[in-house]
Amino acid sequence: MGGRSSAVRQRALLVFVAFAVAALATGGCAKSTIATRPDKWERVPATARVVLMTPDIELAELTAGGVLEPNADWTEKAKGFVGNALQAEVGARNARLAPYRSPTDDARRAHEHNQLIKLHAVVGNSILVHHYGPLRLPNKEGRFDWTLGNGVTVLGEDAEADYALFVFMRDSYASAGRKAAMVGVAVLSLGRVVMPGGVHHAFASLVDLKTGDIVWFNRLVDPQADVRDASPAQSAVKKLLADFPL
Amino acid sequence: MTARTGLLVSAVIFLSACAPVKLIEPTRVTVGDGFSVEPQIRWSSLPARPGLDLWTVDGATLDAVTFFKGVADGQPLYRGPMGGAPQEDKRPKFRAAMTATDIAELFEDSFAMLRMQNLETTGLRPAKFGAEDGFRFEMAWVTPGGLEMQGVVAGAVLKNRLYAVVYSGARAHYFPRYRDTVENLLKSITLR
Amino acid sequence: MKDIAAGLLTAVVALTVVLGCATPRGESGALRDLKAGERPTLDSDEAGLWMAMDRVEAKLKTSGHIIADPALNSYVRTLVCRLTPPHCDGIRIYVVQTPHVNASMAPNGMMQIWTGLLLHAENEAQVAYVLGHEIGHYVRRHSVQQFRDLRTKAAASVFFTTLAGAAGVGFVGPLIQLATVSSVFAFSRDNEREADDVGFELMVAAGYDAHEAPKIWETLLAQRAATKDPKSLIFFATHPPTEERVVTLKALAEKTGSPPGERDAGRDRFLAATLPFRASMLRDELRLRRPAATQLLLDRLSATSSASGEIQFFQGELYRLRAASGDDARAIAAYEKAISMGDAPAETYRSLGLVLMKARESSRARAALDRYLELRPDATDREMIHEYVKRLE
Repeated sequence: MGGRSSAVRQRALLVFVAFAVAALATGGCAKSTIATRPDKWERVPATARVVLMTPDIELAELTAGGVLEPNADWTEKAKGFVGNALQAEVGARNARLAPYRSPTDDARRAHEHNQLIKLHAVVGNSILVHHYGPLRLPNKEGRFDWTLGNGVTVLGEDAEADYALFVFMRDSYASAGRKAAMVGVAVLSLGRVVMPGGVHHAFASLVDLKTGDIVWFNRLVDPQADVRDASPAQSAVKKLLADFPL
Repeated sequence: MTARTGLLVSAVIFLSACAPVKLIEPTRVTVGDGFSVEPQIRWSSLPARPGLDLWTVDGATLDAVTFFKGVADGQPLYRGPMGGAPQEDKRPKFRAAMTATDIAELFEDSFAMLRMQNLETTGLRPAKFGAEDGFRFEMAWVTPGGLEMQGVVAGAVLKNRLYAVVYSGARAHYFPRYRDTVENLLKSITLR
Repeated sequence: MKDIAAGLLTAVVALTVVLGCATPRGESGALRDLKAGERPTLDSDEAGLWMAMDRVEAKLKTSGHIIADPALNSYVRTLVCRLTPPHCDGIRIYVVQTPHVNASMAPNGMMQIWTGLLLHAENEAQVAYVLGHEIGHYVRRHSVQQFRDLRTKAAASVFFTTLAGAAGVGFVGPLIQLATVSSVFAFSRDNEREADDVGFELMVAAGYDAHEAPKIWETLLAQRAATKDPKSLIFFATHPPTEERVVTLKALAEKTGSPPGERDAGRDRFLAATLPFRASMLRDELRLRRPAATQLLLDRLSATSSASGEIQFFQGELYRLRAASGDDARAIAAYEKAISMGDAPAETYRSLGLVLMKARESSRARAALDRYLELRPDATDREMIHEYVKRLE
């Protein structure tokens, strides 16, 4: 097999570093934590129209050399399993759940939708790093006031929805070689050096499509979760949607 | 995707779990030698690589004020190891003899090196940086993940070193949100 | 990762069994050609590939790197449909803005043309050969063929990753990843030979001058020789360049019987379509900071007669940015040559003025900057240029 260039290793390290804070924040704890805005929360009606955004999922393999290799095959399957599980879980509680469809006839509006979707991924990452993670922002004083801004009304109008449910997952699975290396390193260093087992995080958020405010957010950090199969994907989704306000 | 959109903040942050995030209160703050500003609002100061300070309200990939505290002749804007970017000796360098036009090009080329796309620099004009003669310009770019961003750069060359303040933010909601605040912050710059 | 951990890891990995990568065997004719309008059946392995590529395509569309200009897209569409009329409807073309030279086709019909290729090719025939080569991989279903040749599951997952990389998703990450990924899984020599043959046939059948085919390879090989970092040349990652290919293509061209220059190279059409983008493509190229390789490109472009003032302007920019000893004087000479040619862009005067300022030639600098302001009264940097002029008084 061809050798990995150091540039790829550097990039893998960057990916690792960018997620490192989320990884450090887990501290071995698999509990999911909820941050909500209770004042907003009471105003969500039971008959709300909810649009289910296409789950943003990427799965990777963590090789022995510490390289995160995106795996398109796993990702494809996971998107299917998670999408179905979301539909089942939320659909059971809210009859007005509809899947997101990009506007095919209006390129400008489609572009705006895409910018909001990309913005959400960045906002969610900020929440993981700064609300749950060790880089807490003292200026926020524990407030959870992240928002996509009122540009979301475009999305609300086109999707004919009051709220949007976003799901984001980045997950990695150690290769057999990596697992062997992890054990090896632990043994050789007499347990003092712990080689990270990869990246695991998922979050879901419910966005108010009038204001852009995130009214419900949940994060799942569970190194055991494996969404490459239907049944474990279902249980991961159940955990992710615990205390979902609908 | 998220790691890639976070590349610019990775350019600035040298993540260290031990370095605390500092609260910046809205009273005059010294950023570097003789370089002080009035923050206007509360910010959080994130651990950053040498030569830079990095402030944010919501997270540096959403909104950020970056202080360049005296880039020396022959140095690049971003020093130190950066995954995915060229080695330090291959990066575009600041030269003390640079005009403002050259410096705007330096920022553009440095952002391109960080894989930002569709870079546009507009409105380059002379402007006071504190009491010093300096420059101002606007930037727009797209992150590797496709998120549209905007920025404004204020700077000056003093004693052969480059001092600058860059305010950057997502075009959707975040950049406009603190634009006026940052304008007042820039007016308050003191540089001796 | 701390050094001590890395050291221990190396020791452990040396003892760990490293999964071997199956050497791809390109059996020509093992798979029948893709039929026009064909899509794989849902449960086939090929369908899995298509689905994966559909996702990659959706990502590419929103990546911000695509040039949507209708005239340029219409031009490349016409070119592709001239090359392969039956498959033209099944191919979707994306023009990607980047100075790197590359073109690729994914098994689902997604074609990428990177603007670096449009800058480095001299005419339509050369572009046609490269696209024809990619169409060859697509029609002969080389990706599917390789996928079926794989024996280990690990290599199969790497395969998907490689495809994504070769299709340009690696593009939204570091480009160097493409080069590394292909060292794991490049097209086989047989596949490459076959794609060369198909590319050649298609271009000849469409009426192009066959002698242009080896020339694009020669251009790329010369670029590699001039670059200190050959790994950064993306096209070579998936298309190992050999002298053998050049020799083979030259021989094939001889066999067609038409002398060089007799058949169509599509030069005028190509220049007309790409000229509006040349300035921005050259700016992207300069930003790579590879002056030796860029100089080769400028030398080739100077030999063309269209808008040569623009080329001289960029020659000046190359010197200005290189800033080696004596380069300021060279830059000034190049800008002045551009101006004398009559079609230099207005920015020439700005750059000339700035370099003259540096050389303390105040009155010449002022004249140049004044001229820039005359030509570009709405320039977004006009206030700063005014300031320079004031300081020169």
